Amino acid sequence: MKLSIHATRMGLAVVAAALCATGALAGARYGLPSVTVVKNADGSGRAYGTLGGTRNSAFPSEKLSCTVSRTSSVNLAGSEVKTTAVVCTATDKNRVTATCVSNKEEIADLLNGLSNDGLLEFSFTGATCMSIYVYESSSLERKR
Amino acid sequence: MKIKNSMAALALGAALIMGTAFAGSKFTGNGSVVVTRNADGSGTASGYLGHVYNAPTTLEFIACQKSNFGIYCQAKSEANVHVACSSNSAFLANGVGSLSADARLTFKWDAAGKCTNIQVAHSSEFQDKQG
Repeated sequence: MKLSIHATRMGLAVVAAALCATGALAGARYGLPSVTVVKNADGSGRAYGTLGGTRNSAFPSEKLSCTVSRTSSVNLAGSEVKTTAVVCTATDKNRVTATCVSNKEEIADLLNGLSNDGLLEFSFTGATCMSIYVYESSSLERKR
Repeated sequence: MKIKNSMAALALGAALIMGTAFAGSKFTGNGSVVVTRNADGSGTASGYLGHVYNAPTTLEFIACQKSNFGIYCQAKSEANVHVACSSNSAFLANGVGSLSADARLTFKWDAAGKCTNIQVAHSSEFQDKQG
C-alpha cells in the first residue's frame, strides 16, 4: 500500500514536472540539467552544460564559468602590447572539477556571444583550453 | 479522500520541483560595485551586472560601451564614487563585446584615465536581472 502511494506520488511529481516544464508557454524548451565533466586517461577531456540549467540544477556543487581578461599596454616603441587570459572551470554533481587556461585571443573570441543562459563547452589537454563551444537557442532554459 | 491525497501529492511534487530548481551553486556575495582608486589616479572597478540591478541600492552602476571611437567604461559605487576610463583599443573593445546582461565586469585604468584591462566573467553562479 505504501509502495503504491509512493508510486502515485512519483507519477504526480512527473506530471507536475511536465506542467512546470511546459506550463502555458508554447516554445520548445530543453536544457542540460547538469554539468558533465569528462576526463580521459591521457589528461584530455571536456566539460559542458548550460548556464541556466546548471544554476537551476538540483546539485549544489554544480557550476560552470569562463572568464576572459584582456590587458592593453603600450611599450617603449609606442606599440600596443596585448595580453589575453582565459580561465574556464566546471564542477559536476560529484564535485569533479575541470579547469583550463589559455592566453590565445582566438580562444577568448570564441566566448563572444555567450549569454546568461547559453550552452558552454570547453575541451582541454592538461591545463590548456583547446576549444570552446557556445550554443545559443530559444529552447534553452533561463536561470531562475 | 482519494482526491485529497492526490492534491497533497501534487503539491508535494511541485514543492520538490520548486525546491530542487534553485539548488545549483550560487555566487553568495552581494555583487556590488567596488571601486579602488590608487594614489596615482589609476584604479579598478568591478561589479556583477545582474546582482547590481537586483540590489536594493540606488546609486551604484557599472557599464561599458564600445563604438568606432573605442570604448568607454564607467562605474559608480553606492558610496557615490564615480570613475570612468576610455581607450581606442580595438583589442579591449573585443572584451566589451563579450559582455552579457548578468556578467561580472572588471575594468582597470592607468593614471591618465586610459582603460588598460577589461575582464568579463560568465558563470552559472551569477543572477539574471529580475523584473
